[in-house]
Amino acid sequence: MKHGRTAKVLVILAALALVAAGCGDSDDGDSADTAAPGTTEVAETTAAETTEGGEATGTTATETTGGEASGERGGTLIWGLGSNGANFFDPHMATNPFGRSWMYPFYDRLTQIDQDGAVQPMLATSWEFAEDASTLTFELRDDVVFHDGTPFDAEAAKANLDRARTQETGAGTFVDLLAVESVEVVGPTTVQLNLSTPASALPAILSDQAGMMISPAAFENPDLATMPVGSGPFVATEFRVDEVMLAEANEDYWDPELPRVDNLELRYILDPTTRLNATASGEIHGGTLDVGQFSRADAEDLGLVLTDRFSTALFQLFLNTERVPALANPAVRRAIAMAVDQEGINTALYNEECAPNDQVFGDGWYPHNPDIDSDYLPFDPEMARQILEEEGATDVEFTAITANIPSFVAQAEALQAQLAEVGVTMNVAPTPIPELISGFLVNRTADAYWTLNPGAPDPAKLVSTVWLPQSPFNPGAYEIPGILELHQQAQAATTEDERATVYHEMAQLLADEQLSIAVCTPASIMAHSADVTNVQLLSTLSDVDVSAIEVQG
Amino acid sequence: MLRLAARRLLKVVPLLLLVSVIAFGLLSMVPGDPAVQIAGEFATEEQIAEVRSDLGLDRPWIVQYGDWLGNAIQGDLGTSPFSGVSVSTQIWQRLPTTLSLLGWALALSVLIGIPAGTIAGWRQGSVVDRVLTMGTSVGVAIPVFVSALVLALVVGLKLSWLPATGYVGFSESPVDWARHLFLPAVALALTGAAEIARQTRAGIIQVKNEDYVRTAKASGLMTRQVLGRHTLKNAMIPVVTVVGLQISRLFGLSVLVEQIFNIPGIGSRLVTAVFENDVPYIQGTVLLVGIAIVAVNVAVDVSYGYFNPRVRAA
Repeated sequence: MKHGRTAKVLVILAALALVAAGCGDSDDGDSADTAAPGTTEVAETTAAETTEGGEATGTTATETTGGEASGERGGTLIWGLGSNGANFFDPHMATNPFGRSWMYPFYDRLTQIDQDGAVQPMLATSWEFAEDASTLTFELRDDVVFHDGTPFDAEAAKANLDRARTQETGAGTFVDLLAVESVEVVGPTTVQLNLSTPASALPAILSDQAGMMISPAAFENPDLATMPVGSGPFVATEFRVDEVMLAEANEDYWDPELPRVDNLELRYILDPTTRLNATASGEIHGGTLDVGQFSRADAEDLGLVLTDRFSTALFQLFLNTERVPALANPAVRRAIAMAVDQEGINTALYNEECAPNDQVFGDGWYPHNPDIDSDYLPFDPEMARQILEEEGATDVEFTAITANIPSFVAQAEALQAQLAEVGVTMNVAPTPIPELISGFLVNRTADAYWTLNPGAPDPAKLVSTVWLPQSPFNPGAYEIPGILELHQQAQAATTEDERATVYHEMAQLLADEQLSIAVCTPASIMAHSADVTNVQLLSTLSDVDVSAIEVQG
Repeated sequence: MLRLAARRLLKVVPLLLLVSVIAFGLLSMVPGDPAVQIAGEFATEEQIAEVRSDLGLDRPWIVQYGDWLGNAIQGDLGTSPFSGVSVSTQIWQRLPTTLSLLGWALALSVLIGIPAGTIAGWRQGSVVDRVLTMGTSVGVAIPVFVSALVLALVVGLKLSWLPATGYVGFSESPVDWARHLFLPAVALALTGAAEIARQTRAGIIQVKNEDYVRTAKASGLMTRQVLGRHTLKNAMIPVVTVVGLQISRLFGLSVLVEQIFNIPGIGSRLVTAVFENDVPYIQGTVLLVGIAIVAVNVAVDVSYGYFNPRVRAA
């Protein structure tokens, strides 16, 4: 009798476990199964089209890394992303600066940036500024259809650009399009941007979220934040918050070479260790390598392949010169920069993957001034102390907020210890992420802000975001003498060489001013399995466009 | 038994209300303004105010609480501010995964802990007892995040015996479902099994020296009968209490383990919700887990009545 009752209890427990398991069915495939590439379809192998301007389109526009493509389409690509941009698939409204990788497979842009940083065609086949720089005219592709069947044309482009530049709608992209006064449809596939000031950076900026084209019919979709409707190589099928985005190949994609896989799974894996383990165990094909936690050797020991490229990102200490008057003195800021042991931070905290940098543009990017190396303001605490004494700034004290994430707090504390050596007291306030924005950018109640700027596709965007008097990351509205003129010169320059010359000068000016204390430029590194090819990294930190990745058997 | 259950249930109503107040109170305890975060870094004060108004954050606390509780009772826990996805949907999608993991972990804890504790207690002082006692000391001492990482790295990655990360649904492949859950369940179960074993051992030692057990032995009953009918059942009350505590503990630890093994349960989502300041999700999960823990405690209380008739009469 008693045995019978025990057995009953066990049976009930087992049944409950099975019911729970049954309810928990997941669409996640076993990586071992889904990772195996099928050969369900052989992609067309027509030569890349040539644009009116004679420039190549599609995958040929960007260099690829990680091996040669085999030319066959098949399998499922599973990629792990460490930032939760997945929560917002509306590129004009998205607020997370680290969320672009989620959007690229679904949204085409008007332009794209290649591995050398040059602007290349995408939905726009060519573009031209007017002689007097008052207009920018884009010729658009005529063979593009959004995922919901809406055709992409000049009207659709205008609707998107108008939406992206209207602050009242809540579009964060409006800051990128301030120079755009109006948008005109000139022909079925021709759209003209009327400019209030010269804006040579626009073609590059339209390779970013501001240039992502959403189906106008989906603007009012209540679920646009979670179900993207673009014209990209993948069509979203299911999204589970903070877990996974499932997608399938866009069979009508305009570039016959893309995509290279039948199905795509973008998984959100917050923890860097879990992400690396998931890649090593074969659960996912690849993901970002957190250089603060792992070295290249760690990943290679696990049998993984690394793909990297320079980034436009920068670890920096933003300053509020209004709240701390001593910081309004450039000599004091330079002294603070000289008190920072960039090499020590690079070695101790970044596995030597964060290049010490005294200028705001990283090495490898065209605005980088080669005459300014990391010793431009050498690590010299003695000299720093002397400068501070000369400037009468011997009791500088401020509080720096930083994200309440252990790695950021550790970096800020390293900085705190180094500044203490020269008599500068920097208090560290680990702060929840929402408060960072309200504290430094909105309410402007924070003295300083230690963070990672992920970079931008164009230097003009970085400059306008950080160093102009009206820039959000310059809450003290400090005006660097001459920067507005240089910014305008750069915007008026039409060729990259001309722009490079202006930006070299600006890099010099910003290195002398140190309005934000530059520390180091982190590398973008992806760790992935050897059977994955065509991994394309973008210049913004850890941004990857998985659209062209091929999974080989 | 029914009267006992009814009495216990009545007592938990105020407790559940307190749980709901605390869960909702998280909103005011969490620093920062969700409206600022949602509106974005370039939003104007008017836009931030509009978002705040849309979210109802500008109303008095008690009104917001009343609204939230009323909706929660009807199964509506609100929506995550960034994705706009219903919290109930998110929890419903993820809860079965977490319950699978907890079910496995609890089953392993009990299946290892009770036999090990029974053997150790019945053979008190023997070599087996010493080995098991030492093993349980180690089990209790190892933090879950250490055992989880070691299992993932050694058994999962180095030896490749079982998957180091990930989850597969039961209906998709029962075998893969079990393979993916085994390591995280072991990581969760180690401490629980050790604690249950220690409690069982102590209970057995206490009961086996009682007069009625000696009498049962003297009357010639087989060891199995003496152990099963007279000893184990009477030693179970403290063990059931520990099992109940383990369930509460497993809910908490599953947050860590789901994160390490990349299991899409309610715990791993809770971590990201904290980073995102997704207060509705945090509130919903805290409420749900709070209710689950209260329910487990009631079940444990009621089970005392099964194991000890004197409790039923009390």
